Amino acid sequence: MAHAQEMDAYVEPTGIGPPKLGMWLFLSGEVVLFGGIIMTIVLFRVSFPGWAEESSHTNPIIGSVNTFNLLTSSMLVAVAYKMSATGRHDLAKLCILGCLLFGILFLCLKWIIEWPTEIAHHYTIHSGPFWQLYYTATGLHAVHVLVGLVAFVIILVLYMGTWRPKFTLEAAALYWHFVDIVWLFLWPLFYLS
Amino acid sequence: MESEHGGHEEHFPNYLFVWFILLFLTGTSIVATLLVTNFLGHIHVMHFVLLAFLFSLGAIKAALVVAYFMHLRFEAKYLWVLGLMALFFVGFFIAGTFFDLTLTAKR
Repeated sequence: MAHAQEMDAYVEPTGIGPPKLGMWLFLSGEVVLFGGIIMTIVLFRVSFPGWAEESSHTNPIIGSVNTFNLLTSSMLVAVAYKMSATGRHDLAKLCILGCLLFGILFLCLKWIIEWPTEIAHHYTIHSGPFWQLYYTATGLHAVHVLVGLVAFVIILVLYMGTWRPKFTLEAAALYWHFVDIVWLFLWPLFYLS
Repeated sequence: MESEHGGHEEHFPNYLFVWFILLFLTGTSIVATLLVTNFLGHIHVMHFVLLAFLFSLGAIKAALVVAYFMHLRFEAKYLWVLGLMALFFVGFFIAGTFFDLTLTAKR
């Protein structure tokens, strides 16, 4: 714990601490991963004639509510970082909790309502290019959401003690915003167009 | 300006305002989709216009998140280079794939 505290307090002469710089490097790799997937989807959207018909079977209401969930949780984690950096730790914890709740709601809507309904209607990963890309992209994204939620749970639990996770929280927040950005591109491709 | 830890002084934008803009753009995406699918759905090209419009809105929203929620607007310039390099590689791979597909299709 003391080591983590030291890591949090350490700042490079450039003004960017190791957690933040490491996260930016990691995210630049993630941009290549998700950028490739999103561009593949765009390619199929333009060249695959049945795309619009297939995408009409997804649930745009759940997709839109989930967009709201991720945007709100992203805003809350940004506020949490601000509160943590300015010493208002109780509010920071509350915002992290709010971020967690919206993230959990995102996954619940996806895993409990959306995917089971689609699978029950025989729209599985074997149902053609649209559904292969749909389950691959949204599944990979959901795994990223889950990883982010686990990170925030750990941060929140440690935050309940004396640990003040300013830079760790910032790195986790950067990751969470990236997950939000990926959804901003997946949402129109699978639910709106 | 340096903070007590030797880092740069932090800027905190009005997150609530940025969030409202993001929600407004999200609402615009939904309205545009409803308009095209209900009134202009019979015009084939409108689906591609809609896709381009939705993608543009997505790019604006992503830029807002990166600039304000991720604080890139207030960060050191070399972080921008990192992001741009990643985007360059995405473009490079996509261009290569397009090139390969085009050649394969001609054979």
